[in-house]
Amino acid sequence: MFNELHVFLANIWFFIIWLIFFLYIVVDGFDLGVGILFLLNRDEKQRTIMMASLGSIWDANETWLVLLIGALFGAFPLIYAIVLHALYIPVMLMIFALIFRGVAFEFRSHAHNKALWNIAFGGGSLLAAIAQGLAFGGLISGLNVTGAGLNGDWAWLTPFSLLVAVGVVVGYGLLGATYLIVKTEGELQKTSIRHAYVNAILGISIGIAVITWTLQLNPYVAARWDAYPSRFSLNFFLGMIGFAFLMLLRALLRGFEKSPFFWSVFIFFASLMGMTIGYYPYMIPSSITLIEAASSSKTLIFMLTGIGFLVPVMLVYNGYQYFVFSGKIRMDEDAG
Amino acid sequence: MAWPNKSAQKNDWSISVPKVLSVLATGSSDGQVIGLKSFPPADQPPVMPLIFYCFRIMAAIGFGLFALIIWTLVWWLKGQLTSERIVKNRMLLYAWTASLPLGYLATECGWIVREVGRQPWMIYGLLRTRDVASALPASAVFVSLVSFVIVYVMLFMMFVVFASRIIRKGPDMADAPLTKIIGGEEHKGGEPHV
Repeated sequence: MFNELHVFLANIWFFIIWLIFFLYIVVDGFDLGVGILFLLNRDEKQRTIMMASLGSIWDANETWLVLLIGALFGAFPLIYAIVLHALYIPVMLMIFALIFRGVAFEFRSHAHNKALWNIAFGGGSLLAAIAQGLAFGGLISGLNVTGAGLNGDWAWLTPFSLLVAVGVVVGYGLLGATYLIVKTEGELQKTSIRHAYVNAILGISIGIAVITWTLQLNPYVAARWDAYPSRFSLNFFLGMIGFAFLMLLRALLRGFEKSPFFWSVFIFFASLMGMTIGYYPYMIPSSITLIEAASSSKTLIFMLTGIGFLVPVMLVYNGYQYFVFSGKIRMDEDAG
Repeated sequence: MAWPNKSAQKNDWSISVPKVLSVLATGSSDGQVIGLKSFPPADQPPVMPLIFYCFRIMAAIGFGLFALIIWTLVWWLKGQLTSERIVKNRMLLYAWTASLPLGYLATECGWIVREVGRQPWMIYGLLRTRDVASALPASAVFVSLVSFVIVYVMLFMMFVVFASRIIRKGPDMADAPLTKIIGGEEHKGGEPHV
């Protein structure tokens, strides 16, 4: 029914979507993470530094979300339709949270009363992270898409997705804290190191709980873990998560500035790899595979010529932006 | 100018200039403009007066802004656009200020023409809007739509507050030669802040 070229193209697009998804969770992860830690910080001056550390990049980070949804719409329209339908409520929550958060960046500096915008920024970041966790948890716990009208608007809300949401908040907190270790110094950096410890240990515990629970919820993943080639790679990435976690603790203990962020990103990478291999080739666990969901080969080729040029340009531009704004954030005497 | 009436398939009243539309649509004064009547009523968009007038508002704003450009250009060529002389031409300054919201208004009108005008098609000739609407319960879509309206009205009011605060503060005239003339008047309402 499906020829080899189509299978190949569908897999290429699965990889591109995966890459965009990974980039989004890492870059907007630390971005939202800084916003979550912002809520824990009471010092108005440090808060201004925290926001300033994101000022030049936060909207570029969210570009990946736009690209993700756009690429999904073109390459896997079935997933786009089902996922955005079934996850309508968490997706809407996320959008409103991101609106308030984005506006806070622009308006906070002009406002006489900063408290309102502090809530919009911190609360928006937290809510966006929770909504993403609920959506992702709902998705991987298995949406029942065989029925005519799905199984209700609230199918994504389960104890499992709540746990994943907590995990996402903690994970983003870890990325945010390690990012702040890179970008700040003095008191704020010390606080961030403390936050990084707490979030790393909490995150790894929640991660273990999520993996155990997933194996019970999805017999398919457990079977993948038993089957020959996938068992090897799943064990490998599980080992990588453990290794990266130890390296992260070591880097924090030794007071390294840049490697904690690297190892945190690596933990996200290995976790997402493991999860993808565990569910492959399902895009919606236990119902729809990536081949079934993909557009026609013609569409996929046509999109490749567009995205094929766009993604490298975005990567280079984003990279250059980070390069230009690298270094510590310092406040001048007259600013803030 | 006219008031289109969809059920009667004619204009209730109209004032027309011959041949202008032909030039706009086809580029020649004796071209054939395809009229709305060539389409069956089932393929015609709803709320025609909305599209009809939004298009005209958009076009009028476009010509108006173009006229403003010409006006400004003339003054520039006459050497009247320096910061000392421009204050004497209050009419031009007022016209600039008044043109501030026009660009947004034209964009919105154009958007309405485009989105309402293509109804009932989602993809022209292929897919009707009613066939592609999501199966989400109407209540869910209604709640999110109302939330969007409320949030954007709120943010727009915030924007107006902050924008007028910035405008009242005026530009940074520290280096300009006219600090005394403009600065004294424009700074009155503004509160200095860091």
